[in-house]
Amino acid sequence: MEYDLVIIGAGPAGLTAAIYAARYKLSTLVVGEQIGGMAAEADEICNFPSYKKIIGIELTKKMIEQVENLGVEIKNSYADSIKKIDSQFLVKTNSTEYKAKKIILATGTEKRKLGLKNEDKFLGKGVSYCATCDAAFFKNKVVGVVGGSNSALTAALLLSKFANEIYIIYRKNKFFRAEPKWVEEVERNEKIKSIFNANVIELVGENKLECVKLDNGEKLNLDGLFVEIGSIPSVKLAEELGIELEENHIKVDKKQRTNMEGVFAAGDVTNSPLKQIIVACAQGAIAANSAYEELRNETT
Amino acid sequence: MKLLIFVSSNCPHCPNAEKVVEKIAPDYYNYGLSFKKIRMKTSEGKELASKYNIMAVPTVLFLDDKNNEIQRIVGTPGEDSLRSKIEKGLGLKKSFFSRIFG
Repeated sequence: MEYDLVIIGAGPAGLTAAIYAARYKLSTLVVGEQIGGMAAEADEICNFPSYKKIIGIELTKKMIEQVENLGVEIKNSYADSIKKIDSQFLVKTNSTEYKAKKIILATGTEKRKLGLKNEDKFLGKGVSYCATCDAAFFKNKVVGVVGGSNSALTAALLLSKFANEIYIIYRKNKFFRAEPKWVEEVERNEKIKSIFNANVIELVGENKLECVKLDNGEKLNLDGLFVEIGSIPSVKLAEELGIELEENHIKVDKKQRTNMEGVFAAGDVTNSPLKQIIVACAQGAIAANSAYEELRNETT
Repeated sequence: MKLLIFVSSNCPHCPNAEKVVEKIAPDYYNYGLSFKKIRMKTSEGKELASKYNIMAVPTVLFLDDKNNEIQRIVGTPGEDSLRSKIEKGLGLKKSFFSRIFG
């Protein structure tokens, strides 16, 4: 099957690119493994213009509906590889191949792990990377959150609706990176205690997580541990294509162009200075516009 | 063998996980596999989650004919990985040696 544009990634960047591409009357396909992207995991989004407060899965559902209403197909699939053949691209998933004149890489990021022994063993048995998904399992329990970013603090606030006690374990001496509004709410919440200048060094338990050891000598008896220590850009496809990276992110110019003609990138996978949904959306729009302009110039 | 997939409405990964299981499971119905979606909000969901110590969604639980846990997958299963585990559980998957020596 042949398309003007194939977008790899179905988060806010990819979905916005699809909206613009559809309105430019480009034949477009979105291929994404996690429809809605990481944004779908957010519990409360309070800084997306138009909504005082909206949950991630609702916001991304609206984006998906808009894309589908415009007639763009979203394939829930993993793109195994992309190859450039002459001036076109061949995208392979495990079941099908797609030809494209232009590509937008909106592959986002993956959650960073602690890298500790027992982390995989206790996945789903106390260790979680998604508070939105799993907070309800810890009603009246004691949990920890590792990290100090917006994601970590909002995870702690969500968990406070269920758990009795929440410990935020952060390696720095204060919450530098999080929005002051979230810091204020965390500090006001009596269920949440913050432990600064500390790292988790061991996960202990028999068949499930029971306790964590910190490098400051403390031991915390926990029923659950939520890991929110940032994410790593998903650049495997970009690397295989030979796309230039900058600090492990896809390097793009103002038009979201990469170093390879016909390949654009948008969203958290790029060297954008601010990783937010609104920025991802903007980049998706610019990338689609740039792809459209190139295609139009090539036909005139 | 039974597959139970535990899902909840506020879990963004659950729709993908459901699609994968719904796509793959029917290929094995003739081999004795059955599959059921368990919503965490229901009393059945709460009861089974407690019984099998489910603490995350999506979780795909593999049960034998006596409802004992064989194994589980936490998170969205990959299609190939799910097929491999189902085939192994149903005894359809040959071991390395039997594949080489027959």
